[in-house]
Amino acid sequence: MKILVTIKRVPDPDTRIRVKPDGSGIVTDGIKHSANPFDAIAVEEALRIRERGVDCEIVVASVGAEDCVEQLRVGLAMGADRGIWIQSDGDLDSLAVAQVLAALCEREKPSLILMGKQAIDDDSNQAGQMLAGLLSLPQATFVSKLELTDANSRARCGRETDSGIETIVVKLPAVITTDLRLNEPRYVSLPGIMKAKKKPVENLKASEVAPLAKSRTHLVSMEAPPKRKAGVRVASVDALIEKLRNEAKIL
Amino acid sequence: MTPTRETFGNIPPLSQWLFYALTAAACACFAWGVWRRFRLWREGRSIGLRELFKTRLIEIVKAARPGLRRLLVEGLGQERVKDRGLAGRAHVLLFLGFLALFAGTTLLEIDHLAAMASKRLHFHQGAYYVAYEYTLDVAGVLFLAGCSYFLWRRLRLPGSVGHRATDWWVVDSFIAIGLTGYLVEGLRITWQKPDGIGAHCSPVGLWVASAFAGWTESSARSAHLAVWWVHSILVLGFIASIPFTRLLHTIAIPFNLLLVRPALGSMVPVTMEQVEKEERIGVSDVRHFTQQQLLSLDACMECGRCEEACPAHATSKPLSPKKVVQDLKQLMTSRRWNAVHESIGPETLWACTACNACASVCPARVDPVGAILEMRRHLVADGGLSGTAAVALRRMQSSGNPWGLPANERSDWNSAEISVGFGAPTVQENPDFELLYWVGCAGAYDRRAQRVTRSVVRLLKAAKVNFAILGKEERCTGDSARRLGDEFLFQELAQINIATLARYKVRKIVAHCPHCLNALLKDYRAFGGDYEVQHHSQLLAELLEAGRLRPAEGLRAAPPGLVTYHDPCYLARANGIHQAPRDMLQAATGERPTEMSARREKTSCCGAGGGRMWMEEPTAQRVSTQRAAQALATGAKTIAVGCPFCLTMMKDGVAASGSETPVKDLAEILVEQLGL
Repeated sequence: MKILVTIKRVPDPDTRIRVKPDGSGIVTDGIKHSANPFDAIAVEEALRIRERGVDCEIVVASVGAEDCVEQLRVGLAMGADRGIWIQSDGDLDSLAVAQVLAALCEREKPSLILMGKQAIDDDSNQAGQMLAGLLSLPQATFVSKLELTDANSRARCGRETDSGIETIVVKLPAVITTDLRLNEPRYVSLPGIMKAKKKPVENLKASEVAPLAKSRTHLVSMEAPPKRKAGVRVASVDALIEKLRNEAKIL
Repeated sequence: MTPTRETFGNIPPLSQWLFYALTAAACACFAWGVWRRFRLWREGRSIGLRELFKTRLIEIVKAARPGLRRLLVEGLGQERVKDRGLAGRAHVLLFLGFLALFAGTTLLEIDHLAAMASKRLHFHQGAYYVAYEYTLDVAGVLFLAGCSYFLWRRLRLPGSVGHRATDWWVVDSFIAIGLTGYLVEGLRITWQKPDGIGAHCSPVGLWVASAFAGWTESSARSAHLAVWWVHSILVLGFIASIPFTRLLHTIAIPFNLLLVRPALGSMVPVTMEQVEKEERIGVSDVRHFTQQQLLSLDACMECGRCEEACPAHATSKPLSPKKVVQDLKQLMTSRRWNAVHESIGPETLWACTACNACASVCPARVDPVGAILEMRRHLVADGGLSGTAAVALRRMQSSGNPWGLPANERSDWNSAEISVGFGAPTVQENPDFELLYWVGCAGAYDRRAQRVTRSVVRLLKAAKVNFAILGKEERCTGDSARRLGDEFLFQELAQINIATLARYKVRKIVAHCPHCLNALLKDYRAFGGDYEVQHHSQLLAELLEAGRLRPAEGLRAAPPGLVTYHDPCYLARANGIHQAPRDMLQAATGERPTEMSARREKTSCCGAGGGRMWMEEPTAQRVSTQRAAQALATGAKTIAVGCPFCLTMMKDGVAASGSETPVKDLAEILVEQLGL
């Protein structure tokens, strides 16, 4: 079987983000980038499926400018077999990305599409659902437990919901988006990345793969959240109750 | 009459020839067995012996000198064997007895051959003979005493000692050889009836002979011949069995002592060129170890000292250094070269705190830590690391510290201090500094450890030391990365730091973190970083001694009561720094610290070394809980530490024990005592 995993290049989760003074975006100078952590979980899950004995090819794909190849290499270093870089100039919104990926899926015909539940840069949480919609495929989102059943024709997924774990079974091919607790991605070291340089990365153009895909939303402005005020330490439970009642007015 | 005895006295010529034939066979068996092991050792990576032997003699002697010294002190002198209660002493007895008997037998044969060549060369007589007989008689007692202890110990079967069927042969045959030796002597005295001093130079032999007092000469002679044969066959059997039993250590240890390059706290760097050429990093095949490392596997006698010293083993983790060594030896013997990671699981390799307790306690100088860290390198390159430690490594890479806090907040601890006049100057602010204070990631970012940093700065300022800090330009030294197995992340960080230190022409460094200290002192040398590095306790002890740090009048705080000091592994064991912290504490509090039994070089790990700081572990298996219990058992009112990792671990361990005993860094205690 073939598993397609998508990877988005995002600012490293450990860098402190600052908004540009004119609100046109974030300051990108001197910021490190990495693969979206949820996507790394998706890659890890694909590898674990293979390690559990399922014979499969793992393809990683990324949509973006040339530097996203760096993140594809990370996926390859983790153990994916080949990469596809779909070149796009300028940011695409979730629907446009889903359209590009849908065109790619028509070509690659994967039996399983694994994606991070959302990217940590815009936190949109839409591309996976939209892709499933465009391809008319079943979807399981926020998955924290995944098991292939019925001779790898179905996936039994535990979904994290506000009220607990919901278990659903989807028929493959399907789109599955991964949540934080699904696994802990393996660490990639420099020798691993060097080895991965020998693996092929195909270069496609978004405008050719999906000529009709275009963004329908655009960023108007961005601002940093207001600074949190310093807290106060109260001396006793009574003082706390008094403050909650009279100052915060939540009791 | 000159006291002597005839060699092969009472042994008919046919028996003598048969004896020589059997000796030749036994020696051949011995040589074949050693050759088989030698061929296995040779499969490892070259250690350059062939090249060394092509150089001039003086070079060879120079290279061999430390090894020869070890051979003398640790081999002949049994320096590292003797401490372990009775077992160590029994080994010394056995060893000395064996050595004397072996040397004696060799001398006897030399005399025999010499006398055959010319009667005048016969020296086994007179005063020499008396001394010889007396020495060997006593040596036999030592030998038997040692062996008997080991038999008794083996019968009681202590857990840490390995057990194989051949072990019984080794111990029993030794005892039988000793006993039959005395029987042969007693029977010989019975038929020979020596007179004069010759009759008294073998006290044990004489005592044995008294049991045969009523025997006729002919029955003594026949019994003598029979027992002599039993004795001889046992001895020859023993020689032939050396390479096939635990006795192999008698061959492997001397060579290992000669070839080993002990380096606690050091690691061998790997270059990118090597990785590209060999297409691998670390060890996944037994042959990736060096020839000396393979030899050292055979030097392991399974005494179990490493296992007893191992903090991971003591807390029921799936790691025993002894088993790691034995598993590797098993793979080597069966030539299952590439089954390293099948045989030794990742949970075993990750359990190691790289505290070096096993390596430092091994009498044979086997180094399980070195092997484990090299196997970890392979695991990491192979995608075998995940979880919190992986996160810490990613953060070291992206932010230059394992907490993942922004690099430009590295000096935030200092901003608050500057406002109250206790700020530390940066290298830009004080370009003429003499000493660089290496703050380290914990000291810069960890809230608890920041208090240590502030204390050190206050002390340095009070003593008017001309110092500076790197501020935001400092990065993680990479210690954890290297010991977790990511050599190239370590090298990246090392190169950045070395370049920064070079830019500011740093020569002298003081650090309050032993991991930073070890990295700056030992790890960086191979990459061109050569510094004089002191632990803050050393500098503070000097400043106290020189009178540059004194309590302000009337401000001296009340003594903190009994203090115990926990030695950090990378300070006390890897770098031998354990007196300065005690001197400092004594000068600070006016009292000697109370001691735990595991102290100085024999300290017990807090559980944070080798990158374990960044790994989760179940509370029940926490090394820190165990160590904290030892510290609390001293009844100390304060637990002093000299490492920010130990600080975290001991604090957690004390809390887990339900105690409120404070855990403080040495510098914090000094600040309190001086009233700064």
